[in-house]
Amino acid sequence: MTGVETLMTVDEFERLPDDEWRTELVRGRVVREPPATLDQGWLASRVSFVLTDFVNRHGLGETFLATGFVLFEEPPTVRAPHVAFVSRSRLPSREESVHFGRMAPDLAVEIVSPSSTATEILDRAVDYIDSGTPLVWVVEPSRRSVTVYHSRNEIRLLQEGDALDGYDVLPGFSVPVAELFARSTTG
Amino acid sequence: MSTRIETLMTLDEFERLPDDESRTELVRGRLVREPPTGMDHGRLASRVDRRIATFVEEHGLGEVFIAETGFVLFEDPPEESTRFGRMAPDLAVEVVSPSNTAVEILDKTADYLEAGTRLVWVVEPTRRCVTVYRSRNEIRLLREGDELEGYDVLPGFSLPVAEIFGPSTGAGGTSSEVSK
Repeated sequence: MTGVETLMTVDEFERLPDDEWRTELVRGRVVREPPATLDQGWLASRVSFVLTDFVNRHGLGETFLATGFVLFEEPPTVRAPHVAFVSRSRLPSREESVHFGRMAPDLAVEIVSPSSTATEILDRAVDYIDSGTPLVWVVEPSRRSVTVYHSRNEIRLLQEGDALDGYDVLPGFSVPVAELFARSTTG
Repeated sequence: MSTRIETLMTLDEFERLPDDESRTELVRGRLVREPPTGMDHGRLASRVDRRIATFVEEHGLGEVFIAETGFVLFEDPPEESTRFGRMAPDLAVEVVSPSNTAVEILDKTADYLEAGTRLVWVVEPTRRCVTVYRSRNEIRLLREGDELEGYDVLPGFSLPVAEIFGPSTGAGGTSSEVSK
């Protein structure tokens, strides 16, 4: 991914104006990505819908779209997963909610784009795991697979035919991978 | 993203291609070319190769093939030939270059596992870690401080991850592999 880089702190980063790009702070470097591709955006929306439905029905917590989470204060790292889930007991107060999450999410979902480099995707996964995120889903539209990181020693590559489970993060959650990629309309 | 030239061809046509300096693969009928590796990348691949080759030779376990050795992973219909190995390697090592896309590396890894390769190491020089695939359900992410193990493919093989990467100077380059 071609990114424009500037060094800054979490505070400076938080005061940046909004724009159409997904912007993250990676070890002090500001990294910007162009808006999502159709596949990416559709899948992010699909995953978010399935997750939010489950989370709401069971009152487990809240889901977030492209929201900043401060994974590390030093070196300053703010990641914005396409979809994230935070359990009820860890949700920030109303006053704190005007800022980025000062925490690792309980689930981070990344949708791979055709231009995402292997290094970039691994870097994200490692950042989430190191910050204590107990569940990471890396969704890969072209191969229709999902890589699930539960910890560094528990990684699985799911394909159509497998089911995506919520482990202890979303107890009882189970969605067939094929269903995740199934479009309701053809074309 | 890597700049690649794609042509459709059969396995037979692919096998008759002349050698050149780029690494060429046939992926679902598409000819995919990658530029030769960069220095850091080549150095790292050579370091891994040396360690595996020494171990395999000492223990009489088999043979090690580097970089441009072709392995036929999927064939439809089967064709007679001797140029490429008609088998999946037992161990496949991929060194990630800065230009490799995530899809490309996942595709390769999934192809190896589906073809029956029992151990895949994806070496990532920038973050200095190795993802070890024994099957789709047994994947581990190793960092400096961890040891690479040979499992049942290279019984007794053990290599500290830190030794693969050597001193921290940063790395980069392009494609490469080592296979057993």
